[in-house]
Amino acid sequence: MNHQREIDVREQLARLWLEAERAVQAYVFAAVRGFQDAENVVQEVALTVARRFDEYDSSRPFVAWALWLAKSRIADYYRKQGREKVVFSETLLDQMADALVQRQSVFSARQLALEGCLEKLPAKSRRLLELRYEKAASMEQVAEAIETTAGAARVMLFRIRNLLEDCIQSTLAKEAT
Amino acid sequence: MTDSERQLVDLLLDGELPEAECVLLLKQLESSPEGVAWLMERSLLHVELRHTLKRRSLQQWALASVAGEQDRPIASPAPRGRRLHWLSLATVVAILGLIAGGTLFFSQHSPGFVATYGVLEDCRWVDPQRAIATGDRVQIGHRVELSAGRVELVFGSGAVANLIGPCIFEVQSDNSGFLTLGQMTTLAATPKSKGFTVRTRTARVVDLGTEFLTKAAADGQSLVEVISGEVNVHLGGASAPQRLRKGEAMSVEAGSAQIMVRIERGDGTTAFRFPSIQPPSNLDYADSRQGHARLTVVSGRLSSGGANPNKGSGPVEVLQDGRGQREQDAPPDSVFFQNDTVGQLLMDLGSVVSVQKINTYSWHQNWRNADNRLRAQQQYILYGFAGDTPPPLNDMPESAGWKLIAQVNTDEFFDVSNRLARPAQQACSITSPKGPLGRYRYLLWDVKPSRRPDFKFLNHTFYGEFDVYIQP
Repeated sequence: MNHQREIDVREQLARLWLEAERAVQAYVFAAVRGFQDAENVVQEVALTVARRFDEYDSSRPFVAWALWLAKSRIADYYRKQGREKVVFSETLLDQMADALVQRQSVFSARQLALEGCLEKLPAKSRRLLELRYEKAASMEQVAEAIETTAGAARVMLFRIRNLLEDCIQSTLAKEAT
Repeated sequence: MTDSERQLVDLLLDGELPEAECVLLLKQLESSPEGVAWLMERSLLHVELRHTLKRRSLQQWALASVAGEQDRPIASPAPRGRRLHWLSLATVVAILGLIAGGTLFFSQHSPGFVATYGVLEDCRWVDPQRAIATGDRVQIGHRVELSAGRVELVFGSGAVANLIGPCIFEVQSDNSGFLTLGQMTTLAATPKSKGFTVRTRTARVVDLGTEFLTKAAADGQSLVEVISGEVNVHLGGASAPQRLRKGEAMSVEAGSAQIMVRIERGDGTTAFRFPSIQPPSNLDYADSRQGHARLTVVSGRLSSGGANPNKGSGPVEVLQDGRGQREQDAPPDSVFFQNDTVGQLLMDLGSVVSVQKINTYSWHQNWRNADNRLRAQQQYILYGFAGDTPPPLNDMPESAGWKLIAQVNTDEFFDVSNRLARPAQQACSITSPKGPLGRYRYLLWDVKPSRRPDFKFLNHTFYGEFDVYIQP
């Protein structure tokens, strides 16, 4: 492969990957517990995508292909963990992939909407999210930091996520009209 | 879906759902398209929150750093850095392959993101709280503060910078950065990365399609070495940049004169040919035939050769005889101090003159052992003084009144890690892009012993010629 061709291929791969990355992350994060393990599996998917990019049929959606590869990496992850069966069935993993492919067009708009929605949250709620997502604190650690019980922290997180999801949906709906 | 089912999905994503309940929930989801949609919606939010909040934290940290909050204790190795170490191979291929061109995409479609972290190897961050991972995106103003280890930054232009700790580097655009301290190599191989710029306190290095090394010392001294291709080195006040080509290196001292030190490898012959530095000359101001300058040993002792006087140093005048050594291992044609000592050479130029350029030459390769080039390394600090009587000579010439002109260590330039990496014949040229180096009557070479990196043994360099050029 000549140099220019190689650069073109890499640029194409990078563009497609960045478009699909969020879907792959959501897919893997749903199936693999823990941020660090999930991020490692995403890296493995990225590696597989890069290695096998010449097999990609450009007439098909890239995200579907990337998610198909991700399914194998998730299965690998469970095998390495020593679990006899993958808790997520192949049927469910396929359904999850379909759901993501359908939503792909709104990913970047969602991200922008989230930025604004986070600003509307009370400071305490943002603190809770920071502990959970930025510091990757366990629910017990989150509870301790905000001086409550783990159960209460779980409920608070659930409500905050609901608020954020509602806010994102309403922002997207406004933009669509 | 009921609220409690939705809560179960959250517990699943948080890793808090007991295995038995997990199996039940997943079974339920298989027959509930609405449930699967909710699971993916929620997982997406999960990922977006993780990404957004981590990025915000980094931004706040960068702002605090720029505001001057830099004095943090050196942290113990960060578990995250270690964790990523085993990932590096996978990450190198995947992330570099994916992102090298893809950062172009970031810069075009994600305002502010101009670079991405690539390989992280054994990283210790100045701030122990930093949680940086391969693939994390970087905005303008982001500062990399590394105590130890290696960090790869892939710029939007496609340029790849390798920062080696300890190092402080600030990302300034998708194709530039500021190196405050430490060293970095830059590979600018893509068309868009041509013109990649590394600024230091004393220089601006502009890539012309190449790979180059930049170092910045705590005292402001900068060093540039070209591994392949060419770079332009711009110095403040200089009308034209200095062009460096493959294999060439240059250091720039802090201070208004902006002294440049260019070091080159010779052709290993008696012609003493170098890529751009001229061979030893008998036309310089300090040549003995000109009758202006006198060189003396003012501290230390030249090697006597021990039991074999033929192996001892030549007289100091050989440094002013207009030529280099007549062969590669020629003690009588060379000036060198006793092993394991330090020494100083003082040159009296006879009157105060405007010194334009100072070149020094060395050559040594043992006849029997081709890899024994220890005595080729040039390592000295050069001082100047303009008065009639030179200041006292001691271990700290600057405090005695001498003015530091340049610090030379050719092993650093050539990045010598083993004996064969050291060129046997070397030239060093000290100049300033602003004009003369300064007005001096006396020049003092504070000569350091050479050292084998792989052996605790000090030796002394075979210098063949010192040439001093003045501005008429």
